Amino acid sequence: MELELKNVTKSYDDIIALNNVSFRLVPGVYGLLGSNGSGKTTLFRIISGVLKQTTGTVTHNREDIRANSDAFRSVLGFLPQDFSYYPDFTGMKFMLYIAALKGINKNLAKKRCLELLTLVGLEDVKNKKIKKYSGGMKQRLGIAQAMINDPEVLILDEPTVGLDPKERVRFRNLISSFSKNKIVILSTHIVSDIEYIADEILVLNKGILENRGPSSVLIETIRGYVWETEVENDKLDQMLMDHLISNQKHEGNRTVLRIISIEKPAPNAKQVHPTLEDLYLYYFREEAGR
Amino acid sequence: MKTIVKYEMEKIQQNKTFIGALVISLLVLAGILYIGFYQAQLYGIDRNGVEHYHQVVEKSTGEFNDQKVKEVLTNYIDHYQSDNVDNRSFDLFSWEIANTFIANGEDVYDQMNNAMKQGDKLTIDQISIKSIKEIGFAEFLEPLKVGSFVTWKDLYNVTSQIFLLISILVILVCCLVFSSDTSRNMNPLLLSTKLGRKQLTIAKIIAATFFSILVFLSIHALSLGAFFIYNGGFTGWDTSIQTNVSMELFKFPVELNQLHVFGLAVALQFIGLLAIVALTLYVSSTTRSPFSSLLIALGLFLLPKALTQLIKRGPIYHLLNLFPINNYPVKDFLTLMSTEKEFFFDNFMQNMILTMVVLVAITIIFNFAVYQRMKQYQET
Repeated sequence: MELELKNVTKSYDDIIALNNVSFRLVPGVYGLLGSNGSGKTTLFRIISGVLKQTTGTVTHNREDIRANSDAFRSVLGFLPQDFSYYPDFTGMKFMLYIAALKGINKNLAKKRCLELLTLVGLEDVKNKKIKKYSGGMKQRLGIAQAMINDPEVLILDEPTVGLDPKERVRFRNLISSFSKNKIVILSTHIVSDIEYIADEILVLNKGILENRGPSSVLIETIRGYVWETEVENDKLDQMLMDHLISNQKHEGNRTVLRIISIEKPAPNAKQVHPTLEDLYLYYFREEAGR
Repeated sequence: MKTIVKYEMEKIQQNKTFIGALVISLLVLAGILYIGFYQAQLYGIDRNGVEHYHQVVEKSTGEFNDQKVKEVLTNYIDHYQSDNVDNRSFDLFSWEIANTFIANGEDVYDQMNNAMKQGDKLTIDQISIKSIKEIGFAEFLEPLKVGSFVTWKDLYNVTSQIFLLISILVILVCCLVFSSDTSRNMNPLLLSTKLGRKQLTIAKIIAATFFSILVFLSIHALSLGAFFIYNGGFTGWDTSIQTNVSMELFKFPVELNQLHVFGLAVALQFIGLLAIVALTLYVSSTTRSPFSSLLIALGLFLLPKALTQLIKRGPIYHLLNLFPINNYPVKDFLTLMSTEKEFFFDNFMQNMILTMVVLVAITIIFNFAVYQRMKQYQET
């Protein structure tokens, strides 16, 4: 099983949202890392068939997904970003509705919906109206609906938004157990989520796929660029202005800064082991004002 | 498919706009029925009008000829001159006949009043009555039949008014069907499911159409129920439409009774409603918010009426008369469709069939357009 994008470009008048993006995915969990406006949602919408690319092709098992849209949609699970549920539907009814749209047999749908609601921890509130759900509960419901048809390709756009740490752990475990022989692509701003569950990370910046690989390999690309240094508080403002800071910790009248910089930022700076968060800042430093 | 239709129906029913619109519509319907049937002219001043009307109708029902007209008028002037002025029930049936057949309709009341003052009575022979031929009533192989008509005219008025109510309610509901999902940003989710483009679209069309039919039938059933009580049954159904002198359709060229006319009016409204549903669904599928969808759909519904104020002759005027807003009042469609000047053919039934065919074509075209649009829908 494979999902392949070849030279996919999406432009709106003179704005290029995706620029010649190509990659091939085999079963596994992929984390899409990108800042706001980097083209993540556009990419997901193109893969899910609700947005047409300007040029390029998307194939699933070497079949164009647009030419074989019915077949592709039957193996697709999609959690879009920012949608409103039907507030007067109960969680169970919403699941059954989506199950019907996915062409799942009524009896099987009931069983499957119940299983998934249990998995995401909504079994107790399955008969409550969605308008009474919290943001996190709605997000879990969204994740559950995407998995109803046991999809071969699962796309989750910001699935961890609104989830508390406990719910995020549950989500990560759910994805890990679900992902065998499946292609799971997810985007999130919470890089630790991706770090834990993604087999590979795709870095999308301003519509361009800048890099891809396992997090450990990507992190290696910025080895030597991450520093820690102690500064006195009166010099702190100058350091914050001059450098890309990934963290700052106050200790008395001194502050420990974690700095991302190709050159040594201060005489007493020591190189430290980079993290995925550092990588994110390195790629999206413009978003951080650098 | 049945399951999806069921969910789509539920989505409509649970929509707050629909619930609000339904409550308001029921209040408006109650108002239309109350004013149309229970505040009708027939009740007269002392509320005994309906009873008296039915007594007169019972005596007057039958073949419509000059003799029958004379009998009705004889009874009318006798009744007028025999009763105490203060207790006199208003006989609307005979009054309408008198208005049509007495040469100087208004003078006769002065003459009767003067005669009564002098302790005398005006007789039918002293009044100049026009003949059926003189007025120009249409003639067919079978003679025309006269019977209860005032109540039927009230039914036609109510039927016309409730069409506007039904249309607005249906537009309000149908404009939500697609645009509501668009405004909720649900399309990426729905349209990426296996059945989300074809079956879901068909299910939405079925649900909206079924719902509209349900509204149409329920409101007409309520109206007919109210009419049944008001009219004391369906008496007068077999009366020729030409003898419904309140409507002044003496020369109407087709042999139709009042039930036929009611049936045709309901059928025309029904097909018009299907076209309105299809057009509104199309608008809903092209807009991003229910409100803009509502404004556009209402605008399109009313536009032909506005245009006929500007264009009063010619083929475009004829085309505009095909739209429901221009032919929903019962008297209007009977009048418009019976002449080539207002419509396409010089034959009522041909014009009626043409209108229905055009409306069915509009329904099919727009439903198909919705299907195609949603099948190929792309986010922008």
